[in-house]
Amino acid sequence: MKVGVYGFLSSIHLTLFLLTAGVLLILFGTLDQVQYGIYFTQQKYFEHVFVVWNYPQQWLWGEKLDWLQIPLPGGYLIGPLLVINLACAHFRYFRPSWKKAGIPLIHAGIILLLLGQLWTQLQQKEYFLWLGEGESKNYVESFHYDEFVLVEIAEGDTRRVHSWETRDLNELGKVLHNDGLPFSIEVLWFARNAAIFPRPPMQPESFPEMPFNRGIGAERDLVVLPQRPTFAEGERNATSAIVRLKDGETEIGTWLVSNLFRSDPPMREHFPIQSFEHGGRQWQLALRFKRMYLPAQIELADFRHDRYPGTEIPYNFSSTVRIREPGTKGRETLIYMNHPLRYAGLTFYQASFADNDTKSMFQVVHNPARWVPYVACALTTLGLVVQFLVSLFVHGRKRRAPGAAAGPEPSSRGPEGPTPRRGRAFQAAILSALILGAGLLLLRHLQPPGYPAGWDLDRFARLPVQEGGRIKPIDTVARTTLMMISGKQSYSEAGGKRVNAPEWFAELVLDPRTAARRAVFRIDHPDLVGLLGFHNEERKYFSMEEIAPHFESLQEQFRQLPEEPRLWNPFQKALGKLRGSLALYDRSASILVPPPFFGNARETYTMLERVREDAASPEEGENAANALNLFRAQFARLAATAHVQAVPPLPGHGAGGWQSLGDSLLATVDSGSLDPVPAAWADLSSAWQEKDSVRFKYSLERLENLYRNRTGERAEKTGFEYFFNTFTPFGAAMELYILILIAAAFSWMGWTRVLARAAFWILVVAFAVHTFGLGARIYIQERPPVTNLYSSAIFVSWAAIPICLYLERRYLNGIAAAAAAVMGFTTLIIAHHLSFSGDTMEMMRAVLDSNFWLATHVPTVTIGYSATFLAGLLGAIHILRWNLPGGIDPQTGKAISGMVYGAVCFALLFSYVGTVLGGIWADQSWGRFWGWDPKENGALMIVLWNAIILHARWAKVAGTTGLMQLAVAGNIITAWSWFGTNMLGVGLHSYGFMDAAFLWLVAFIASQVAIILLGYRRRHP
Amino acid sequence: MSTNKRKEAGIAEEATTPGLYLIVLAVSGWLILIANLFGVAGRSGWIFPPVEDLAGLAMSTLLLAILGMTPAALRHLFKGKDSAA
Repeated sequence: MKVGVYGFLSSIHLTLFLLTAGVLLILFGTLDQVQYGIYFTQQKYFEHVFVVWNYPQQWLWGEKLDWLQIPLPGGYLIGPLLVINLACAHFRYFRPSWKKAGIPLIHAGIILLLLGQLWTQLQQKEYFLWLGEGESKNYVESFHYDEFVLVEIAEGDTRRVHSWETRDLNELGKVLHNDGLPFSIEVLWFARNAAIFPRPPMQPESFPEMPFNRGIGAERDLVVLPQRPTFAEGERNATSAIVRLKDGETEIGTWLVSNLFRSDPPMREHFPIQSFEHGGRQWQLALRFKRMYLPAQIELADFRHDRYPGTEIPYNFSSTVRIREPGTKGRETLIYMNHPLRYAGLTFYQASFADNDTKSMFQVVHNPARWVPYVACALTTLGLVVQFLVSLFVHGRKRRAPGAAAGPEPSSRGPEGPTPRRGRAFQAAILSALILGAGLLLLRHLQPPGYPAGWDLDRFARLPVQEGGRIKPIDTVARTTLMMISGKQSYSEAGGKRVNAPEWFAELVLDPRTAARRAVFRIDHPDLVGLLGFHNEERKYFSMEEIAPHFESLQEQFRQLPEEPRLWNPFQKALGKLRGSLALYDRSASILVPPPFFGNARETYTMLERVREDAASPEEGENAANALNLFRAQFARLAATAHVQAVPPLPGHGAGGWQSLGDSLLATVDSGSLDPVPAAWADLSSAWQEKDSVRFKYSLERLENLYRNRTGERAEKTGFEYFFNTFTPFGAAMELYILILIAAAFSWMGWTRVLARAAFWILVVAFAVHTFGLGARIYIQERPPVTNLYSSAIFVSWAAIPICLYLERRYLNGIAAAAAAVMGFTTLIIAHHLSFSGDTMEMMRAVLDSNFWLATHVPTVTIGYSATFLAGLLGAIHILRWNLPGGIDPQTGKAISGMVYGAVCFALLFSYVGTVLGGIWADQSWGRFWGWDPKENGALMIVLWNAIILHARWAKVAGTTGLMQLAVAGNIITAWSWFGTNMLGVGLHSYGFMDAAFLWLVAFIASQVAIILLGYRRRHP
Repeated sequence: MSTNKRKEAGIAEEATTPGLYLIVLAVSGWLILIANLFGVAGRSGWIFPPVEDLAGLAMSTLLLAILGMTPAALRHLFKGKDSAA
């Protein structure tokens, strides 16, 4: 077959290859960021025609496999070829019609996006500006480039700067000239990275003689040695050179220059500016960060770093800067997170801070092509929406056309019932039984938790406290604490009695001595169990009373833990976890009443009052003062370790102002008046310890009144949050999903219609419960649905369920319901495991504190994940059912194929729009649309992969099974983008390496690969 | 064994497409290898990357080529047997 150049360039096979190569390039480019950082990797992968990926030495069998290299086409090959391919394909194949109205827009948008990216890569420059309060500068410095400069200081301190790029220094022996320079510069030595140190007095001869004879190098007898360049994020190479200055043939001197010799503190103190005199003029020479001068002086007037009360979580970083242009008074502006300053074609955004919040760093971006992605993305999104709507319209018209099938007949195998009438009754009975089962299951969750009779612990659990900057019921604190210590929200006593978190917590805070007997500390590692003296023990839960005698040996082990948790072995991980649990237990025990310094809390307060009275008398003054200092020290320790603030401000004290018990008692030591809240907690504690339920109720009522008067509307949601906690909607939804899966799986063996219908209706109920849970979180947090990894797990399955409901309603074959059930159950299990690390409704960090973008970009991109997962899951169901005895009937196969195609179209639309919105957020906040951050790359991989699936189907490269296999591979890419990219420890979306999650991710990927391979086993006829 | 039966037994026609892609990667590797051998890689800047371990690259490209040709070779092998039968 003869294929011309035009035919090749316009081929859809070329499109497929380029998209696949793009996915591989982005994947390897993301993996390499761990070693080489984002900047270098971006240059290596996306600004080259060809790239070579090396197997990293630190990977498994790295020393044996380090020869392995994978050559890839780079960004400069894939991008232009894609533009050419798209343009050629468009002109060759496209025939205008209203059914394809969106296609030209999509293609034009993509071509513009690719060209815009190329323009950006060529033109975008990134700088930084460090300013201390009161300091001003009229230049910004490059993050990555250096320059060699000679500064001529003329009369009146006017300066003329002669500068050269460092690439001019790279050629040894090169002589640099410049107009107006009375001398030439010869480069004797250059290193991209170097170590500079004073010549050691011991064995000075073991280091080479240095050729410089002037400047800091000669004065301090410095030695300079070349080093391997570093690519680590946040580190900079110490670029250095030795240069000789000559006036004609006469040497003026030889200097060592380095970007380490900087004019900003603390380097200025170590390395003053190097200067010399020549020809009656003063000169300075330096190798420094490349500068770009601004048309104005930028002065930092004020920097603020605000945290949520009682936490270290920042909610605001802001800098007030003054811009002073020559001849003007200047103006003041505020730069804060997500609100950069755009000035002189540059975007200044708040990037960092130092020196006790007195120094602020701005990242400064120059990107002349920043408008291009907006136009490109608007075109593509418009095209996708038009095409999607046209397809829907055409599809709907086909279905409504006279003579068209009323929809696919549900496939059925096995008996539908003996006779129509008896069968209908039987079906109704099954349907009713299953829906009744679902109802009972829900009722079980709606039941109030069981507490000991007469103690009103539900009222105790509803009382508000402040933790992590948020006002929440004690119930939430109790559940989170027990979850972190024991991995559950309840525990079982030796007799089998189940104790809920609030009951355990009440005992912990009101009577810690008794609580110490409860076996709540989960210890999984047998060596650690042995260290506590429990050999051959099969249990995993231990009490404080059992652990306390081994504190000394434990402390010794804790001291030996390496600082970097990433390096911990399984035993050390268990130790680290126990250390965290013990600290949390200890802190939690004294958030409401102080530790029993003198008997119980009541007696402690009485003693404090007496000591204060004694301090006022001349006889006891000194002793009492010492005793007061002891109280002060104890309460200060309480205040320093407190993570919960339980004392609300007095009415009329405005927002905030909650105090921890320690802070409140410290105030009592000084003022002498005990706040009624700690006093009431002390009464409650003694009533609990003395098992006086009547006094307990009375004290509780007093506390309720105090909290009601002081908190007012601010704590109005705690009652609802308590209901949300006890209802556990996600737990209920998980149980319903299991029921749906069972019904759907049985529907494939027989009674297809009735069981599929039951699965559908239970799915409606599960969706309602899941939606309630999601809505409740939105109401409590006052935030959009996805704010962290936990909420993304909940949202991913929720977003897929409406699609599944539509598909199940249409096909009624149990497949979409089964997919929804598997997805719902799995993601809620993932969410459950993510909740072990603490409150899942934590406050938003400053950088994410933007409800607009959280409500648009994040849910949209998560819906993209969701639809891609759904397509993959349907593909997996197809492959698995095909391989089961009996296979899959052609009608069901066709139905699943249609579902997968629809889900992929949906996924492409949402993942593209979501990614674009993310880019716009990045541009609005940081002045750049795309930064090759691992998470951004992951989102792009999903977009490309969905495009591959659609093109493979259009090109008929993939048949039905091929389509399913590609959809399953989409699961791997989505899982990688969702979790894998967070584990790299690189970029803005890095949440740290989660080794347990890493193993699960590997297992998931292996399972998906196995399903893909299974697809090769049997083919569609 | 008929073609359909063999296909059912697991010889995937579509498996040759990823194989072809691997061969394209191997060809890219050879281009990089040649550029490095002739000293073009260092000077070309943004076209060919300089490679330190040329033997490793040669072995890797060979491996990619072999892996890439495997599905097509298997198909060819079965086709030959089929026509002989």
